[in-house]
Amino acid sequence: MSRPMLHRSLPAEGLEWALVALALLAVCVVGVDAQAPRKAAAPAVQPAVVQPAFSDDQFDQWVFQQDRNASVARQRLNSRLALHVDEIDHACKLTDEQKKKLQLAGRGDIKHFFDRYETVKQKFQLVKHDQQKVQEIWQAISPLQTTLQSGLFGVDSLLIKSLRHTLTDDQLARYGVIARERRAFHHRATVELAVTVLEQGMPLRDAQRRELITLLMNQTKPPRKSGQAAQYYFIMYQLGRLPEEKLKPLFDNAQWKVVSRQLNQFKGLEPFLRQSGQLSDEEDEPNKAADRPAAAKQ
Amino acid sequence: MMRSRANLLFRAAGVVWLATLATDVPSERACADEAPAKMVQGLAQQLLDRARALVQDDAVVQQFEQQFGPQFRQLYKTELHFMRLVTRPTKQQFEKIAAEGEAGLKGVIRRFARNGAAYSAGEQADPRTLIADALLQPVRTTLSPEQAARYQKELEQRAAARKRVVLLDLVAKIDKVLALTTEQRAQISTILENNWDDSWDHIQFLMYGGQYFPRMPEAKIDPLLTETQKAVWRDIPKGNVRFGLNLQVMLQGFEAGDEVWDDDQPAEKK
Repeated sequence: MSRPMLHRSLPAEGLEWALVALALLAVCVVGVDAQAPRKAAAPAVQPAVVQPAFSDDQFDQWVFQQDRNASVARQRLNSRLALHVDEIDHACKLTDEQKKKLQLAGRGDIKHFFDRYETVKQKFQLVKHDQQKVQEIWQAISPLQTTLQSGLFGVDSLLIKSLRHTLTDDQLARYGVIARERRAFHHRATVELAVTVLEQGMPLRDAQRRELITLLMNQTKPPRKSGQAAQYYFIMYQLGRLPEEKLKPLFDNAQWKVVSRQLNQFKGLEPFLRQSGQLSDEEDEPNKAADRPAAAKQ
Repeated sequence: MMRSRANLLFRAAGVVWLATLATDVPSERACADEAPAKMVQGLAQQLLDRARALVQDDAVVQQFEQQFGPQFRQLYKTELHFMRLVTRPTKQQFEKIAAEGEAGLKGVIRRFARNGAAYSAGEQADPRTLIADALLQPVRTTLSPEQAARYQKELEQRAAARKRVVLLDLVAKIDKVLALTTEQRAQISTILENNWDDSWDHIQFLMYGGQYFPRMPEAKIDPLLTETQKAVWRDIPKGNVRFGLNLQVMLQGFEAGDEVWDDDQPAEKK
């Protein structure tokens, strides 16, 4: 990666000296009436503070964010469904009947999402003139946003669940290969991102970086759901739960001091990870005494 | 230094204005002299504007330094420790490098103070990279060529790792919206690597910018996509999203301890 040279100080310095010289020269040679008329500044008008009443459009923008409204979001979700069915078709060579079944399942996921949206919107209609109550409804809007950001067609979707009943064993095996490759690719991307973020607090030597990436690839599970921030936090959460005996030898004392403090703060992420669907009951294995998490020993 | 330059500019502007006020010009000559008068007024105004800008700039830098200076110093401290880990200097060498690197650190702080959250395309937005660059010179002048080469090599490996993670995560972002095949992921990764843009290198963007995509070499990516993928890709807005400087993400609020020196510590001599 190219690294630019440090910025030189004040490139306009030469210009300033030229201006000074020109100014003095001008004073010497020009006689002028410089009494320019000055306009009185208009008094500032203070805008009236208006209490916002939240509109339906505003609600849609909260939920659908970059899509802005339900219609655009529906169109985007339909396109995503088409992409997923194409992908499965590419790997498994689907029959028309199978395609129809998968499309139906995917449309079920979209319908389910919009049913949830309608339910929250009905609640919003009742409170939209009361700012305080609208704040409370955020608890219901946030999961809708999370669902849209992480995608509707993940492991818990009707589309993916229906594969088992729709595909043949051979097709399922082929789909399993591409799904595993994708999961491993995203796992690697998230692990390397997590190590990069960790390095911002304390840089690592190349050998340390490689060892940490290998340890994380071997000792952490890929995230269950898509969504970059949640995936990153899931990896950091798992990193914080690794036994200190495995982690500490990778660092020197000064590095470990910083890294262990960083990891300590990810202990409290469990509720967030559960809410975002990254953490399931299977991750709830009791800690063995020998496997006491690194972060807990601080 | 900036204050004295601002004072000079204020004085020069003042001289110009005083000269224009002192000159009594008859009204019939006003039209004829309008052009040079305007020129002088314009000049004085430019001087005043520049002087004001310098004073404001100075204030901005001071305020920024007050607010973020400790975090930048923390980055500097951890970078110094890394340099020590790689090059194994003596305590005296370490302290000399630390002292000489201070000027570079101040330059980095000033640069970030002026830029604020706005970075132009392709500009390096990572303070650690700039701080490491600033340390390179004192490392070269203080340590042996072999030690300096080791540090330089580690920095290059760090930059390569950083580039790799940006490429990986950008392809992962695209994959999430386009459901790429394994071959497409590899092909797009190669395209991005061959058309690298420093403005992609924003860790916050990779962590939190799930719905944002930077500008990419569309003409090269497009032929790799299926018709369905092309339709989805076309509808995704892409642009230069700037997350700006977030030292909290970098430091997570934690301090590195002071360097501990052991008399028995092996040291390399220049």
